[in-house]
Amino acid sequence: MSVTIKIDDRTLQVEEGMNVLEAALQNGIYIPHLCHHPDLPELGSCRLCIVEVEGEDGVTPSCKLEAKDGMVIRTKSDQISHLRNLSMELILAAHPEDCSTCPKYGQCEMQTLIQYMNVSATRMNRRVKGFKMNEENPLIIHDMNRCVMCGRCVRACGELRGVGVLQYNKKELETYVGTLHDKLLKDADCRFCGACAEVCPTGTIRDAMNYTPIEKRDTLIPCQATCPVHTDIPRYIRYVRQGKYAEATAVIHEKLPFPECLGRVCTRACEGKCRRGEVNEPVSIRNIKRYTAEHTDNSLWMNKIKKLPATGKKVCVIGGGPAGMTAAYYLGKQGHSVTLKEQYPALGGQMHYGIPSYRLPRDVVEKEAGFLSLADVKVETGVRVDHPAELLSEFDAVLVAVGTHKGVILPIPGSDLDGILVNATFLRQASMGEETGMGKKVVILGGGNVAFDCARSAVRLGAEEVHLACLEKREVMLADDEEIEQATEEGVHVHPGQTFDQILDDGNGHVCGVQFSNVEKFYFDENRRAVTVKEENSEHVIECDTVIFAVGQRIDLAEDSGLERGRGNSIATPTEGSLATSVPGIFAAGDAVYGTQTVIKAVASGRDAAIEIDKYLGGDGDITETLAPADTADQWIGHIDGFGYLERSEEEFIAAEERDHDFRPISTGICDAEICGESRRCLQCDLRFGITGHRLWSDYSNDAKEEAAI
Amino acid sequence: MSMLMNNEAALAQLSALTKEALEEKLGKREKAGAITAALYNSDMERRKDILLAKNPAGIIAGLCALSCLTGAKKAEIVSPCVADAAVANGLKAAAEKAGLALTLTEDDFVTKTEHRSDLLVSFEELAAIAEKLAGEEPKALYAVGDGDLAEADPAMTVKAFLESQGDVPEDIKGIAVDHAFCPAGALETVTLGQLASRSGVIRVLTGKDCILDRARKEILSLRKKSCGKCTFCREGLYQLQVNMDAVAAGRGKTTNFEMSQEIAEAMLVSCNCSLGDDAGKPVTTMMEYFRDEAEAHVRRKECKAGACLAFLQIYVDPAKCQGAGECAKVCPVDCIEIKPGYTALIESFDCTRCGKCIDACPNGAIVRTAGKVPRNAETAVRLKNAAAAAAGAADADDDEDDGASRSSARAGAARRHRTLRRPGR
Ligand code: SF4
Ligand code: SF4
Ligand code: SF4
Ligand code: SF4
Ligand code: SF4
Ligand code: SF4
Ligand code: FES
Repeated sequence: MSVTIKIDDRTLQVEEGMNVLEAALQNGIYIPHLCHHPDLPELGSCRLCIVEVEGEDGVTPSCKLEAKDGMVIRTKSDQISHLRNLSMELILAAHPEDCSTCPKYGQCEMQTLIQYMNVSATRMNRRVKGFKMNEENPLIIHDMNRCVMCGRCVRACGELRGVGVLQYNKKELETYVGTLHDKLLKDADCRFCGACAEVCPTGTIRDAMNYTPIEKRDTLIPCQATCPVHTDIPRYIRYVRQGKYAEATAVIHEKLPFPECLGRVCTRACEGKCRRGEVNEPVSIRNIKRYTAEHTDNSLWMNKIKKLPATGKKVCVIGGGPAGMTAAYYLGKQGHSVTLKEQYPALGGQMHYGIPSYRLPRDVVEKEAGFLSLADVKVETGVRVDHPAELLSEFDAVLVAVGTHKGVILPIPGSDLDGILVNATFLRQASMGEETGMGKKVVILGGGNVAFDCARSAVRLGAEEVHLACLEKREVMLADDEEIEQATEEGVHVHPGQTFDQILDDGNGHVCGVQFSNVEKFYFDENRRAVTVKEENSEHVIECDTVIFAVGQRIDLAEDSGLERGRGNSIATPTEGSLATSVPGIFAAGDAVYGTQTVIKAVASGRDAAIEIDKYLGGDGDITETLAPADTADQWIGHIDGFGYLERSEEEFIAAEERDHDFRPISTGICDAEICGESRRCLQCDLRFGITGHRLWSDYSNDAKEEAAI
Repeated sequence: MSMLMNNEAALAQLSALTKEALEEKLGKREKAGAITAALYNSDMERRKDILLAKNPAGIIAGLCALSCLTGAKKAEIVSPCVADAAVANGLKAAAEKAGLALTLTEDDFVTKTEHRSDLLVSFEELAAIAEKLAGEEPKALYAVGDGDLAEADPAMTVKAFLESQGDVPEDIKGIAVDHAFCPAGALETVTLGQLASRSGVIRVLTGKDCILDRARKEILSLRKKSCGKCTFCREGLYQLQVNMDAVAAGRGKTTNFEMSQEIAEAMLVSCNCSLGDDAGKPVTTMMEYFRDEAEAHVRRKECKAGACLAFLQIYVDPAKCQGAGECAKVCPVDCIEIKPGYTALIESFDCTRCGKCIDACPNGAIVRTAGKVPRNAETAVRLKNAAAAAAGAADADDDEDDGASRSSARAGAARRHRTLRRPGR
C-alpha cells in the first residue's frame, strides 16, 4: 500500500513500511549514511542518517524508520547536525587522518562523506588502532586501521552471500572485523566472491589489484577480459553448475560459433588469468566449455539466432578456416549473401588440415562447420583463389582469410635433400590419409605445438623412432607442457637446447642424419635479434631417414595476388585498427594477417572482419545477439566446506599404449561425476557487479553540492 | 509466592489457559518469531541469573505464556549459568513438562541484530509473568551491595529499602546503581522503581569512594563488554575513557569534562542496546550530581577520597622512621633511598603509590596523603641513635641478594621506571 510522507517539505508517495532513508535516496533527497546499504539488512549503528519525525521527541536513524501515512520528516536541524557531526567526529577519531596515502583515495565513499559533512576530529582524542595490514590472503587485502566499523562487510558475507566468514571479533578493548580465530580467508572457507570489498565504504577490505572505475570490470572478471572474444565465462559456468547445458552453450554461442572445437584445442588464455588460480588452481574453463557443448542438442540457441532481412549485398570469403567461417557466419546473419570459397575439400582450415584428429576429431569440426548453414552461407570447396580483386566484379566485398598453410624450411646445409618434409604439408597429408613420404626414423626440427603435432602424428603413422629437437631449453619451450609430456609418453625423444648444424647426405642425395650442437646460450641482443652460442665440441648426430621442419608457417597465396604484403609476407592492413587491405573492398583476417596463432584469435579476427565489412556494406556493424535467457544469478551462494582447497578436475586421457598407434581422440574431457564440482570452483567473479553501487552526495541534487561547498 | 521460589503453580495453571484467557491476564503482544530470554546487556552484576536456578518453573511458565501470546515457535535462554548442569537440567525438565522447544545458549551478551524478529525478555519479567499466572501481584528484585536479592515494592523509597537491608553508613554520599550515580540527598524521595535499574543492585558510596574513580571503573567495564558495533558506544566510551584517565592522572583540563559530557549526553540517545543506553551515564550523572568533586581533580588537583593515585603522596614521617629499611625491600620500583644513619626517603617521581611500603614498615612511619608532603619529610634526616641504626642498615645490606648498594637505588629506579606504568604528574 502506498502512503504519503513529507521529507523536508517534499511530499512523496512511498510503499508503507518502506525505510525512510531509501525513500529519500530514491527520490533524490540525500541523507548521509554509512552503515546502510540497500542490499543489506539494516544495522542502524553509525547514526549519520538521523532525522526528526514531527510529533516525536529526539532523533531516529532514518534507515530504521518505517514510512507511515502522514509522517512528516526533517533531515536538517540544529539537533540533527550536532548529533550527526558528533558521530562523524567520533568515527574519524579512530580513522587515519590523511587520505592522500590511501589506496582508495579518490574512489572512496567515506572520503566523499567526510567532504560532504566537512568535519574533522580535531576536538577528539585520536587513536591509531595499530592493526597490521593483512596481505596474506589471495585477491583481498584487509587493512583494519581504516575500518569505520559500519559492519557492511559482515552483513554482505553473512546475510547477502550466506557464507558467514566475516564476523566481529574483539581483542582486549578493540572490536574489529575478522574471521573466526583470525584464520586466513581460505581456511575460513571464504568464497572469494568480493562482496565484502564491494560494499566496504572505505579502503579497509579492498581488492589486491588496483583499478580505475573504467578498468574495474576487466580487472575483476579477468577470464572474460582475456578471452579474445570475451565469452561470458562466469555466466555459462553458473549455468553448467545448475545442469543447464543448453543455456550455458547458448551463452558461449553469443560470442563464438565453435564451442566443441575450442573446448578441445583452445589455448585457454582465460585460465592463465583466472582468479581462482590465486586461491589454488584455475578453473578448467576449456573443459567445462567442451562438456556443456557436448551435452546439449543446440536447439535453444539455434531458435534464437539473429537473422536480419536480406540486404542484397554479396560478400565472398576466401578460406574456410576459423577466421573465414566466423566472418561468413556473422555476415550471413547480418543479412548479406555470403559465398565461402575453400581450396581444400573440407571446411576447417587448420582445424581440419593442421591440428591432428587425435586432438580434434573431424566429425566435431564438420558438425560445427555445419552451423554455417544457419546463416545461409554458400560453401564452395576445392576452389583456390589467388587474385581476390577479380572477385570484386561479382561481390560487394571480399574477405581474404587464407591462413598460413605453407611450411618454412630453414636454409641450412642439406635442407634440399630427399627425405626432407615440412610441417604444414606433412600434417595435411596425414589428415587426408595421403602418402607423406615419411620413413622409419624421423627427426622433427622445432619445439612448438605444431612440431609436437608432427612428432605425435609420425608415431601414429608407424615411425619406429621419432626425435624432436629445438633451440629452446626445456623450461622455455613453446609447446604446452601437456603436449611435451604426452609425446614423451608416446615414445618421442625430446632434445631441447640444440642448434641445427647440418643435415647429412647418405651419398645418394637422401637424408641419413642431422648434426646438432648443444646450445650454451640463447638470447636476444639489443636489436632484438636472436643470438645463439654453441657449446664447443658438442657436435653430435642423430641418424634418421626423414627430417620434418616445424619452425613456422607462411601464407600460401600467389605473389601477384595484388595485395600489399607486410611482415613475414602476411597481408598488410595499412590502417591501424582496421582489417581493410590496400585494395578497397578487400579485407583480410586471421593468420594471413598476423601470422600463425590460435583458433580463438582467428575467431576474434573473423568477428572483427564481420563487423567492419557489415559497416562497409551499410550495416550498423552490430553482430551481438542474446541467445541465452537473462541471467538470474543468485547473490546468495552459501558456505562450502573447504572451498578454497577444492582441487581442479582435469580432462581424462587414454593411456599412451592405447593411443599411440592411431588417430582416435585421446581425451574424453571432464567426466560426468566431476563437471558439477569443477563448475562450483568458479568464484563467480561477476556476481559482485549485481550489488548496488555506493550512493554519493555528489550524485544528488544541486542543493547537496552547494551545501558541501559552504 | 516469591519470584525466588520455584513457581510450579504457574506452570500447572498454564495448560488450562487459552490464548484469550492469557490476553485477559497479561495483555496482548505483538507477533514474534522466537522468545529470547536473557539479562539486559547492561546488567553486569548478573545477580538475577539466580532466577534460573531458583525458579525454573516460573521462567518456563513465562516463556510458555509469551510463546502462546506471540505465536513464537521457539524459545531460547541466554546466560553463562546454563553451563551449570544443575541449572540446565532444571530448566530442561520444566520445559519438557510444558512441551516447550527450548534452546540454552551460554553467553553473556545478546546481539539484537541476530534477533530481529524475536521478542527479547528478561528473566525477571518472566518470573513476574509467572506470579501473575499464579494470581499474585509481582514485586521487583533489589539488593544492596553484595547482599542477597530481596523482593521489594517498587514504590518504596530507596532510603527505606536501604534501611530495611541493614545499617546505612554515616558518611553515605550517594549510591551507584547499574552505571549511574544518585546523590544521598535524593534517596528519601526517589523510589526503587524510579531508579529503573536493570541489575537491581544498589551500591552505597561513602566518603572513601572517589566519584571519578568509580566513573572510570564503570567506563572500563562497559568498554570491555561493549560489542563495539555502535559508533557512540564504541568510540564514545573510548573518548570518555581517555578523557577521564587524563583527569585521574592529573593531566586533566576542564575541556575533558566538557567534551565528555557532550559525548555522554549524545550516547544516551544514540545506541542500539541497554548497554549503550547506559554507557554515558557514569559521566552524565557524575556531572549532574557530583560535579564539584569531579572538577576538584582539575581545579584543585585534589582527590578527596584519596583514590586517584596521581593526587596521593606517600612519604616517610621522619619522626617515626628508625631507618630499618624494610620498606626498601618491598618497593617494586626501588625508589626508596636508605642511607646509613638517616631516615628513609621516597623518590616521589618514581613512586607508583602502590602502598606496599606502608604495610611493610614495622614503625608505621610511611604515610599516604591526599594533601601535601610536609616540609620536614622532603629530605632524609639524621637519625638520633645513628650508630644503632647504622648497624641495622648494614644488616639490611647483607640481606640484599643482588648486592645493589643503597645509593644506587635511585639509578635503578630511573632505569626501571621507563618500562613501568606510572601515573603522570
Ligand atoms: S579509507 Fe577513504 S576516508 Fe579513509 S583514508 Fe582511505 S580514502 Fe580516506
Ligand atoms: S565469502 Fe565473499 S564476502 Fe565473505 S569474506 Fe569471502 S570474499 Fe568477502
Ligand atoms: S571493513 Fe569496511 S565494510 Fe567492513 S566494517 Fe570496516 S569499513 Fe565497514
Ligand atoms: S573464477 Fe570463474 S569468473 Fe573468476 S576468473 Fe576464474 S573462471 Fe572467471
Ligand atoms: S550499544 Fe554498545 S553494546 Fe549495545 S549493540 Fe551498540 S555497540 Fe553493542
Ligand atoms: S608506595 Fe609502592 S612504589 Fe611508592 S615507595 Fe612505597 S612501595 Fe615503593
Ligand atoms: S545509515 Fe542509518 S544508522 Fe547508519
